[in-house]
Amino acid sequence: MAVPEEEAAARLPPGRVFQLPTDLEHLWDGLDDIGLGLRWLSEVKRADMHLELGGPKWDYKMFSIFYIEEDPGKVKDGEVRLIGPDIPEVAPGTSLPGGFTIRIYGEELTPGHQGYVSRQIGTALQGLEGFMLFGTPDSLWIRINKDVANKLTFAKISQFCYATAKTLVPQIDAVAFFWAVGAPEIGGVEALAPLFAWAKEKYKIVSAKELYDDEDVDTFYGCTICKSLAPNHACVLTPSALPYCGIIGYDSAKVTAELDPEGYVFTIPKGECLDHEAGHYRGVDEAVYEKSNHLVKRVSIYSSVKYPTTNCGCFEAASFYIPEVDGIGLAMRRYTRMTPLGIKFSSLAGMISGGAQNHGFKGLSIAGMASKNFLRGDGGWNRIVWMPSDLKRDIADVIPEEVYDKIVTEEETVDALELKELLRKKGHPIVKMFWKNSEPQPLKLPLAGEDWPEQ
Amino acid sequence: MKEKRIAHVGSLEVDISEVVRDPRGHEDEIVEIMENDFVEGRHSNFGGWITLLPDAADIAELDYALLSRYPPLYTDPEGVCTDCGLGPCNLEDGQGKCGLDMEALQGRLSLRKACRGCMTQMVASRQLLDYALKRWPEATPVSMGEILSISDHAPAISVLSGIHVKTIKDLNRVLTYGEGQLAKLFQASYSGTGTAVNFESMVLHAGSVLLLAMGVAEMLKISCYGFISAANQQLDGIEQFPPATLSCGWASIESGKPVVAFVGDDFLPAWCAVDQMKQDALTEKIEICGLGATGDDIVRFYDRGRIIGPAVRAPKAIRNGLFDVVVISPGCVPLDLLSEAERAESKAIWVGHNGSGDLPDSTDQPIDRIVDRLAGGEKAVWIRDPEKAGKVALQVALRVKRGAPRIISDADAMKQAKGHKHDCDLCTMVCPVGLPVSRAVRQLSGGDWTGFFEVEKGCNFCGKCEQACPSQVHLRDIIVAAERKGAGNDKFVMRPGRGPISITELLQSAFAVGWGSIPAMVTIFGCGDAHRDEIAWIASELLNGGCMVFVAGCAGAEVARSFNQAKKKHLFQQYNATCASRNIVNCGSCSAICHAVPMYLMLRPSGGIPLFGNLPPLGDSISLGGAQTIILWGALPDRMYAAAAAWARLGSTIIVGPASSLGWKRYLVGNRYDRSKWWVRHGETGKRREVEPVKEHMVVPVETKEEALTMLARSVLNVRDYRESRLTHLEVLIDYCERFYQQLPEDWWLAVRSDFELPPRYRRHMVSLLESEHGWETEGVKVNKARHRDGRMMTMSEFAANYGMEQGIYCTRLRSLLPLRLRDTAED
Repeated sequence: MAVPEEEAAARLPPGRVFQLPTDLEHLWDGLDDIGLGLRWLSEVKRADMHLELGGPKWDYKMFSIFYIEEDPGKVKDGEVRLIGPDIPEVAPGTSLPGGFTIRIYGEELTPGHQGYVSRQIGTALQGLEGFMLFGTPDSLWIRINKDVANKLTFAKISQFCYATAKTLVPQIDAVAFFWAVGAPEIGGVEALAPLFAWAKEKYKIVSAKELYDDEDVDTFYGCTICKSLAPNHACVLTPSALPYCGIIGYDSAKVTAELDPEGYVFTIPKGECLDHEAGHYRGVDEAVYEKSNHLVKRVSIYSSVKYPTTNCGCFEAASFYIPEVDGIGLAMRRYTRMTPLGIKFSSLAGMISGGAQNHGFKGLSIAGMASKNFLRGDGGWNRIVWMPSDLKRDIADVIPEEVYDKIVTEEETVDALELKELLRKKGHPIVKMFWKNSEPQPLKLPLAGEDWPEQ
Repeated sequence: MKEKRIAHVGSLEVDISEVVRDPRGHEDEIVEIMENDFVEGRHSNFGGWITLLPDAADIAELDYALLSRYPPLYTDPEGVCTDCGLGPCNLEDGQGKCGLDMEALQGRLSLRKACRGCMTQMVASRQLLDYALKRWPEATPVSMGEILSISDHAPAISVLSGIHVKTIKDLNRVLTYGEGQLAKLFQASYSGTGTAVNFESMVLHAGSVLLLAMGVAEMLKISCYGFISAANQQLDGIEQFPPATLSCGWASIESGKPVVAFVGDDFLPAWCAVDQMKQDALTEKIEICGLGATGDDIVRFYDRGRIIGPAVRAPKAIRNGLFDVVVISPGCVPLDLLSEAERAESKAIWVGHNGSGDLPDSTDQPIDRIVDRLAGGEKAVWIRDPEKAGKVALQVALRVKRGAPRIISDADAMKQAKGHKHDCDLCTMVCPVGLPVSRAVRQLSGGDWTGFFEVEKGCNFCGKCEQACPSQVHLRDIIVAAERKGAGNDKFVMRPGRGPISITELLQSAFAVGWGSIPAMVTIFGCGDAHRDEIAWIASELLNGGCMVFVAGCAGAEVARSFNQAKKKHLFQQYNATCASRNIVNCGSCSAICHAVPMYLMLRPSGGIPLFGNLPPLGDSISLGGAQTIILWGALPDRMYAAAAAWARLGSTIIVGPASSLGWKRYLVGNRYDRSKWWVRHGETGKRREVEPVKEHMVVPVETKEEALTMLARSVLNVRDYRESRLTHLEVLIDYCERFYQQLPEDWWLAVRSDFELPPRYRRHMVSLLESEHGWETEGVKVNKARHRDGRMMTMSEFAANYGMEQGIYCTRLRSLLPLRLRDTAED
């Protein structure tokens, strides 16, 4: 039974098949002559290049699809199929389009493992001697240095990936590899066209699997890695709420909790939803209470103003309540000038770090600003009134068009009173949605750790 | 009775007398610190304490915790004490008349060495400060830079003193405090009667005082003397700041121009000279060079300055005979540079505050007269006024026309080499850095200079070979001749020192360090007392291995010479210069040592730990959880002894090598086999918990560059390692051991808390060894049961609860750093 990528490559020559060692004791056999590990991170200049796959010359026509196959019959363990020339067989300086797939089967594997394992392999590949890897899975740029041209083969690269995957995720039962290298003798880039088309579709399906929402899951995850420094702090990870360190996503958290039950990631049964807009869940409250030395009783995942999650201190950005306009400002670490609070980001970061619950303030990751739940409990983008111009430009595509021009930056003012006038003048949505009679109605924030008055 | 002063820490109202033992006279400052730098979350958990202008004893709890794990190990001990008139006492026979025992005497001597090191910097900082007080009003504002936050102050000063420095007057205040501390420590080093550990605690304090003095110097340099500072830059583009375009080395000196060289610690004469050159449009006409700290300083305010080499190699450099005028100030090590200048027919100006030889003091003579004297044939003068010294140097340089440098001829060198005693190896045997001198002599007798080219790179001109030579071969002249032969190619490009590291910049890589994507933050110090290729090799290896590297002092120019033939670039041209993986930051001269070990700064934002009068939590935290290590490679001067103590107290491991490690006589080493030493207090229960013997040593010697890297990998394993960082740190350690010694480190298994932390490519092998050699129960790549060091078999969750810290739980070695609710009740 043919596998999908082979079907897509049906018009190409059948190529060659290699068999990798699959016995746990011999996974790494034969890799001794290739440097492995961090210090081998490579940048391969054109002059040093033996083979290039994809990259700007080919408009990045080089894909890598990593997917979990449900049919065990379609994954022959340790098989490497190569269509086209191998690395030592091309002339030095060759540049070609191509692609590879890593097909995995495991009785106990879930789609959640996919992101985890592909990241582990991607990271591992950064530490392969003479091997340069840039780009995203659907548009890669690979270069192989002349120094390793006679000892590195596609089978060896596959073996390295295989051994890494099998070691890190024991639930994997079988892995198979498919490489297509678009040399002229197999028909060049044109011959690969059906394969590229297949890969494009497959990539959409594969990556779409990761896009589920907080409502779709029953379990969130928590992380207490920073508690060694911020003793009361616990992060909550949901499909839409990335931790501001950006190190671990929901899927990775899930796999990590499963693979390493003694580790720092733990499961949070989300329990009853108490406030949908603000992201307030009973299960989350209970877990955070336990992990915060019983100091934080309640958190709202999508709010910066009321019961925000706590912060350790290494967040790359933060939101802050500006009472003069009853709105929320954003700033990031690289912004070194003043904010409308009259303090710089560094002081702001200092104020709200350490694991205390500071109503009105929240540490953020810049990537997290793209979430549809971003500060939803506070009014989302309709409540964002100020941000540094650099940040605004960087994330322009996630800011709703109707608000974009109305958000004030430091180029206009960093003075809260001037800000008020500007918002009024620009007709920022906050004026109608939150202000009364064109005047802001400042909230009196409770002190850190205290509750809001019952409404 | 004075009224109670209250500070608002977030929503808390705190009486300042609860956080400072005696706040009198400092009330406003304390309120300001508490209201700006205390974090409510931390304060309500841990309380707060500011050790304001502390004595050593005020911080001793931290010191004793460190020293109980890393007790002093003395080599080559002194047996007789002659410190007072009651002696001498032979302590090998028992206690002396004051009750001192032999080990305590070693502690005294160790403290004396640290004080000497601290003192050299203290004098230099005082010199700068006194001159600044003459030139600028004492209310002149000072800072490390205007744009980037260094937590808004100078941590090297504030962490010890608790003072927020804002003006020159404040600097005077903190330096006066430092001088007072130094006096107390010196007194103890002669008449103290404590234990060795007691003295070593004071050694650590001498280190902290040294950092304070360095901080004062750096702040003055940036605020008053126009030195470049990274904190005056925007973050964008900082990876190329300052640009790697500074030309240094012998071949960077433009021939035909007069050359003035400045040597030592005091850059003021050079600063005054450059000021004068700019006024008189002389910058194109005179070449300005520097050796040692002054060289590293000059290039921070004068982009045409040239660094020639470290201070310890100044005698060799002067004998090259290329300098028309040499301006000599006291430095980190005493050297007879006046004789070398005379030998090379260079005019010398001594600018020390005390005399040198029998030179009369010419400070009050008119400039013209001094210039006439030097131009007329006098060899050297003593001028204590930096402005006058600078002017005289320039005028003399323009008037004196010197011929070609006097270098031993090839024929003479070969003749001497031929006259050597065959089969004699004395020169090699006495060489403190183990250079193959005798082989070089044999080669030269056949006309081959190769051996001497190699010897020259490692030689710091101590002259021991020459003294030992029974054939009276003028080895140092030959070594200088070898250097001159290569001088035409001795040109390298580097970044000048950039001054401080900002917290903002550092935080960009905080997670990468925490998660092990950056295996280590490594700082390299060195004073030229080692083969310079070795220090460059170490730096390159670390950079290739993904580390974040910092250098300060003479090490900067030493590593800068490294040239990558394939890339056709010098080291600083190959790498960016910010706080990130594969970046190398040159902080500046010796005083910039106070910037170059920045990991503790991360604790302010991440843990809310204020950086004012607050050493214990910083030292405790880094010693348990910091992947920051210092390599001191070829660092002979006592100043480095004190600098090592300073950073050890702030939790870093210090690796000392190669040859200078023999001269240190005192190390602070751990013992992995003594399980009683390896414990922490659990932050949620207060109970003691056995942990892995990681961060095994505090100050430890190594002999080879390979050992240095292996020890480095060992030193970054730490109790608070996250899963991922433990994996990286183990992988780096195993890689080095496999590469250099073709074996696994013998104790690797003691660092295993979970199979999850074993590097993938070694995991199966390691798991099988855990079963076959250590009796663990395993299956494939998984560990099912672990055997505790006490012999008990445990499930992995039991093991996690009994060995090492659980992931993400606060821990400490100090009772005073437990959360308030546990502090009084935690068991001993």
